[in-house]
Amino acid sequence: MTDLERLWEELPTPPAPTAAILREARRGQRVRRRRTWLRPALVAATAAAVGGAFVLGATTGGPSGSTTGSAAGSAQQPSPVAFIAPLKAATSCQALLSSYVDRGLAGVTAYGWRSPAVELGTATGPQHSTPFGGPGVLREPPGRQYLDQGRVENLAGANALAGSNGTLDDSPMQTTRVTASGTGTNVQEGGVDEPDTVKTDGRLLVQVHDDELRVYDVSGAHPRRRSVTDLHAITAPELLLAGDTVVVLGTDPTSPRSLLTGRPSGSRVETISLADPRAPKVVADVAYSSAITAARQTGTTIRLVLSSGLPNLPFLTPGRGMPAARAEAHNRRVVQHSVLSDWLPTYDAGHGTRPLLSCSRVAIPPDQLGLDTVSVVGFDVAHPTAVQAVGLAGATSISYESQSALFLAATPSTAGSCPACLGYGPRASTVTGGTTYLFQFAVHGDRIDQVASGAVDGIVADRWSMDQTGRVLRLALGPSSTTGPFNQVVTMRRRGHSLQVVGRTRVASGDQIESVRWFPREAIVSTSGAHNPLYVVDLRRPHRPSVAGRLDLAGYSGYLHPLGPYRLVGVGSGPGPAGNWGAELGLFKVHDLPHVQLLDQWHYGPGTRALAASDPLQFTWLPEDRAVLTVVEDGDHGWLSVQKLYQGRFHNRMIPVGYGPDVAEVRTIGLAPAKVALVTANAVRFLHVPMPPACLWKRTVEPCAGTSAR
Amino acid sequence: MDSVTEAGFTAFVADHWRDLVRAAVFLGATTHEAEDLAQATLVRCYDKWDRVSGAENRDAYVYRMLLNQLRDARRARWWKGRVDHDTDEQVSDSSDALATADAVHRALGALPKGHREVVVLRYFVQLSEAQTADTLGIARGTVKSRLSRALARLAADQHLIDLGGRA
Repeated sequence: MTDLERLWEELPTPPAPTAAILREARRGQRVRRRRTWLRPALVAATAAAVGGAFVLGATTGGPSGSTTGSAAGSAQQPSPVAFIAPLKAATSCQALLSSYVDRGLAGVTAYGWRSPAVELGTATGPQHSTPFGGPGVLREPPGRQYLDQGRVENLAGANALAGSNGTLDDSPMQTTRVTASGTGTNVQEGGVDEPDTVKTDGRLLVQVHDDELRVYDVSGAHPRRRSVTDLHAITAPELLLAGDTVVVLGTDPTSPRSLLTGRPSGSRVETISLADPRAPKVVADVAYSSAITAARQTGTTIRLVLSSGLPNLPFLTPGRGMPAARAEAHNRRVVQHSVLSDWLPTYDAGHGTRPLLSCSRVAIPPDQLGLDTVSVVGFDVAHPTAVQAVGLAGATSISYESQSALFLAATPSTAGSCPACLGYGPRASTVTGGTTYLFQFAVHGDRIDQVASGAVDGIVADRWSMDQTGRVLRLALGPSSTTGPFNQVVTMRRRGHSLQVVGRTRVASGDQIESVRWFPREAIVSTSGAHNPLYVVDLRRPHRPSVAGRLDLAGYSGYLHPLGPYRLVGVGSGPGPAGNWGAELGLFKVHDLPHVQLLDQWHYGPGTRALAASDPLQFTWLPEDRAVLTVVEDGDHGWLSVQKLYQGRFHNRMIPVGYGPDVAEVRTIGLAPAKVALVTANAVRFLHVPMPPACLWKRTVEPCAGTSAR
Repeated sequence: MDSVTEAGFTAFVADHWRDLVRAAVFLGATTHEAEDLAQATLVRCYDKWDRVSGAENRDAYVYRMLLNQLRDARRARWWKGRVDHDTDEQVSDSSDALATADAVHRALGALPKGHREVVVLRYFVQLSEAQTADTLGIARGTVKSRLSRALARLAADQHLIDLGGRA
């Protein structure tokens, strides 16, 4: 303890930047007064007005859009998109530009843009998502049947409710099994695949690491590397897989760097054919001027959510000979003279740079949203250059895609409004006030249409806090400036074009929601607080959700995974037998909801971290082998924990899987019963589960002696 | 804001800057992040300054804002997932500051978040029990119990605190 005291005393800190603080704070006050101007009401455009008003040039076309002719030509007139209030379609390009300029003026300072706070995170990698190929596209290799199982079980539950009205009064609450997607990734929604660094179809396994694309044949008794290809123009890559086509998504390192974040602001989508696994061939290469923040795949269509951030305009900064007032005046003029091409994103599919969005396809959001341009792009894997896109001239931070709809959410980031926030790095949201705005889009193939808008008070932590089952949208909300100091589970229904709250209940007042898992009839919520309670929320009556069960625990889970109707595993942290906090797994009996019982706990030791608690891609459930595989980090060392479940207890084996940043890349995929691919930064090997009997009963952290993974 | 109130704010900034930065580091931020967070917190507090009356309330208010900022920063960071980190590192940090922050993180990192917050605010920043309870939104009894458990845990883990590396 005295060492810590010494560290406290000795920690070097620079002098207080009082002048800078005062400057920013005073400016913030002025800005807030300006932003109360009323925006002129926009009238919804008629089709005729739309046809004439939008002259931004050649834009996106339909599925046959890739041209063999000149670069200038895409024949089709952009079709207008109807947006739902409070989103308003821009009446003209000029109106759209005015909207950007007005809001931009509110956010410009002597130093340029106000802060990273106003720019949506230029994530250089997509959010977790994995592809899922349809039956006609994927081949049927020997291992296919096993991978398919996950798909069938995931869809069954949801399909059963797809047509229902949502009230399930009489059926008992039950959890349903979740296994990996058809390409081996642990996804949120059955049928909606997410990108990852490793993908497989059971026969070939594809990995990206260190900007290399590696292809392995995993159909035999040993994995065989088939090819290694350098990816030249993509960094931080992730993959989607459809049949023998792999889609690589990542950052475009050649794109201009954002002045605010220092990161390249553009992204790239490369389509590579694995028809000959020894010679992968780049089939298409599309560069986007904005960053990919999320990607999903259903069947053979891919949807991306992009964020442009704020444009790099020629700002000045104060310095010698340049007083702050002059710099600020200059910067304001620069914003006033900006043009639409500064704000709207573009793409290049090999025929030159083109606008991604025409003015008629960009919505102007309510004032409360931060400034950004978010694009939703859809394309078929077979035609990656023919994209459909709609846009939003505001910042949304969360994308959630169910099997039938895509939701964008703009959510406040703290309890308390922050109109002039300086944030650390790119922030997830700058919604002012305490309300989350939701925008629902229907996705049919590569078509995207907005179908509803809604708003609800509270903060949505991430996409796992949202779930659409049947016609009901469920959300787990944290407290915001317009709610009281409590969390809620809220149900919403779409009525016409409006998403409306139909029911709500408070959960875990005073505690923090750490993870949520949604089921057709209930939700299970892990919270951290005085007793880290696990709650069961009854959702059988959407207009009257209620907390039905509670189990106090020593630790909490960052990720919950249902093994089936009887068991649930929680991955998180706990105090362990001696009170030293570290990674923990919990095995829960959930057969008799709302009563939950803790059957067993496995503690990995002080200071360890179960990575799946923050990255569920590092969790695998193998029902045939009755094994849970998850990655645990101890300092710099990474281990794969292979937990065999037997008689309601964990039986562990630890396999070393690397050091440092490599540990976050470890993946495990069940290819067939008793054949598991363990993919690390340097190798792919097969694990054979079950474990030898000598280790079956050992309940310690040390690895089994004398056993090895091949 | 009138000049008298602003003078009070300026004095507060000067007095509390160091504690805010240190608290942010002890709660898990890197040294650069901590400075950004402290600055962001103080800017936010400027607005409500005259409405938050009384020295006791001000401290709780400011540290609550700091905790909010830290939580947002964390959320934004993990939310970005596995992005390339090449542009993140701050080369201008002195290696001493980095090493200190690192040792602190290792020592306090094993505590659960709620316990860590209580230790930092109550023991290091030396807010009163009431202020700590107010800042964290928990009962005073919880502050007491968490503090004693956390201090016992830290005392038992002395061997973890080693600027050179793990024991």
